Amino acid sequence: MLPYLQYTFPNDIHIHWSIMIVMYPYITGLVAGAFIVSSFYHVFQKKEYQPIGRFALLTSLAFLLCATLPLLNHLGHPERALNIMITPNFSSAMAGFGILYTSYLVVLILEIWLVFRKDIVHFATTYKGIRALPYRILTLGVYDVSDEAIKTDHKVITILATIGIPSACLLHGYVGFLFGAVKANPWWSTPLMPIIFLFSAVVSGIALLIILYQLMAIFRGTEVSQDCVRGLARWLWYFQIQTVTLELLEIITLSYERNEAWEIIAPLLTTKLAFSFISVQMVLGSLIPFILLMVTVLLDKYLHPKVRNSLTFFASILLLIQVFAMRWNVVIGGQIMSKSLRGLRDFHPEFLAKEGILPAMLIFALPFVLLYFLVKVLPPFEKERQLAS
Amino acid sequence: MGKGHHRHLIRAAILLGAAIFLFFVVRALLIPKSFGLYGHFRGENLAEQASLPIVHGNPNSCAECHDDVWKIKLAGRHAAVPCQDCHAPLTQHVTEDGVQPMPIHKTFALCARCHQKLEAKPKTFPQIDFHEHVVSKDKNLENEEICLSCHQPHSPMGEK
Ligand code: HEC
Ligand code: HEC
Ligand code: HEC
Ligand code: HEC
Repeated sequence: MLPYLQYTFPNDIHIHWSIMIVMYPYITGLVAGAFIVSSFYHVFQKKEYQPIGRFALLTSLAFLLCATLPLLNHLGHPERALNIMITPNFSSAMAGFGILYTSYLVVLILEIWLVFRKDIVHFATTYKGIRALPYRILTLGVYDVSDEAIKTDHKVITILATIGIPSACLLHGYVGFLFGAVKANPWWSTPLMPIIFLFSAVVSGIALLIILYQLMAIFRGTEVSQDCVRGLARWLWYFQIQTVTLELLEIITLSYERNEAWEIIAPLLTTKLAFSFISVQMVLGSLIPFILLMVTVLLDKYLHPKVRNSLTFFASILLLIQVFAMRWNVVIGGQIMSKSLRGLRDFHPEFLAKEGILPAMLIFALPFVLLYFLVKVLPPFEKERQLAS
Repeated sequence: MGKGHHRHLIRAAILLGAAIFLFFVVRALLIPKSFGLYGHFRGENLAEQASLPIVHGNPNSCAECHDDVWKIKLAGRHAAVPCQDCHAPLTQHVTEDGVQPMPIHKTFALCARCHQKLEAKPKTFPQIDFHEHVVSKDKNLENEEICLSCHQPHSPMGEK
């Protein structure tokens, strides 16, 4: 390998937006998706999703708290990240980040606080000493859990959850917008981009919750609510169809228009992205789960719960891979095309580098660790049992 | 809704208000004084940039003392390639304490920077697959200074 040292000629060799920039939309997508699932119960009052309503909120929070990590790791000067909050430059779409992220964070924390307030008060009064302290602080000194107070809480929760849906959609749609608005890159520049990002975010959120819910049930030795899984499988199938249709529509449009961009996008898809786009995103991640979910939804009444659980579980894993592949193909694919659109470049992610595969895996593991602690502090499933005691 | 049943909400609202207030206080403290003076940046930065020492010389600043090389280069295919791109900045060479040695890079890594075959470059730009170019001419790429055995760097297509 010959060294390419200086900058005298636009050599356009390095792919600057690494796996970290793939992780970022992936994680924010899970944030938005998990929140949408929580709203099935908290806004649309669908009783079958009650078992995961609270858990979905905690999942969304755990991922939200880690959403900025890949970006911070990517930045050469992470401490300057705050500048985007302090002096946002509104002629850049990036300025929206601070506002969208914080406002969604506030809405989410408030909603979680209210949803869990009864439990918080319960723990604050039953636990002793140091263990009670965090809960005491969280009560804000108000121990009022009378029916009236809870009723007021419910009203506010509905309002917050309702505000939360557009906030979550904006937070993630904005990520898609960042790519969709790069007009120099024909693989990104499409108004469909925010919508594709959003739909695939919902897919990944539902898939993640199906997986986590079933795993939690196994570890806690409880039943998996079939109504819940059945409902989630339906939504998952629906959103998957939407997502893949949109993804294909974009490509069909590009291909049909046959403008100069297709000259480079066609070879991109059939050479450098052949594996990650055709094999992973379209076949393994779209076609197979489509069939699995079709069986789950259409043959529902013939399915044994174990079969239903396994089908949705497996489809969910494939869909999580699909969404990751989609982020990869957008972020990395868009950069594999040289900026001159004259040809394709190579991308070889390293394993141990600062922005390598290992840091990406660690960053992705972190929200799960966080979620573990959140679930310890605010048990989302044990509502009935705790409150009965 | 009985009165007094939303005390916790009021407290939360006060807390949120305090946090927002705190943000604006901290923000006011963190924004540099000269920010926004001329535009969306720190005004003082202009003066800071302007006071940085000059490193590179004018592209024809070498001509003064190296008239011979300068003329060769102007007549050849590297006419447009600045001397300092291949050697080093002027200030490293000509200092107040006299003339310091100027680096000469002789390996093909120098030429690779600009001539390595890359899809991203315009087809009209001369670029080569090093291996093919050298080996097809019965030469050995192990010799790091191989390019110079056929090309004169200051006039690469001229007589060596
Ligand atoms: C003030 C006159 C002066 C200027 C201007 C000047 N040089 Fe020189 N340069 C010299 C002198 C004198 C030598 C010989 C020094 C020596 O041999 O030790 C030299 C030597 C060199 C050498 C090394 C030659 C060798 O055989 O080692 C290179 C390469 C060189 N100059 C490049 C440049 C370039 C490129 C520039 C423009 C950025 C430049 N010089 C500008 C005076 C100058
Ligand atoms: C394409 C890169 C390149 C450019 C542009 C370039 N040089 Fe050189 N220069 C070299 C290399 C390589 C050598 C060594 C040649 C050798 O040893 O055969 C060299 C050698 C020299 C030498 C010492 C030997 C000699 O050939 O005289 C001087 C002096 C020098 N360069 C000055 C300059 C000046 C002045 C300019 C601008 C007018 C310039 N160079 C532009 C690559 C370059
Ligand atoms: C800083 C970039 C740069 C470096 C370094 C450089 N070149 Fe060049 N080279 C050019 C440019 C620019 C041209 C002229 C292209 C044009 O005019 O179309 C050129 C032209 C040439 C040509 C003529 C090609 C033709 O078809 O006419 C040859 C041969 C060549 N360079 C060889 C070399 C060798 C050998 C080296 C290493 C000693 C080298 N170059 C280093 C930029 C560079
Ligand atoms: C054996 C002699 C020889 C060697 C060694 C050699 N070249 Fe050449 N080079 C040539 C000749 C002759 C040409 C004229 C075109 C041709 O025959 O390919 C040429 C053409 C070129 C061109 C122009 C190609 C084009 O398409 O316009 C570049 C650039 C170039 N050489 C760079 C290099 C570099 C860099 C090296 C060192 C890795 C190198 N050459 C080594 C003989 C040589």
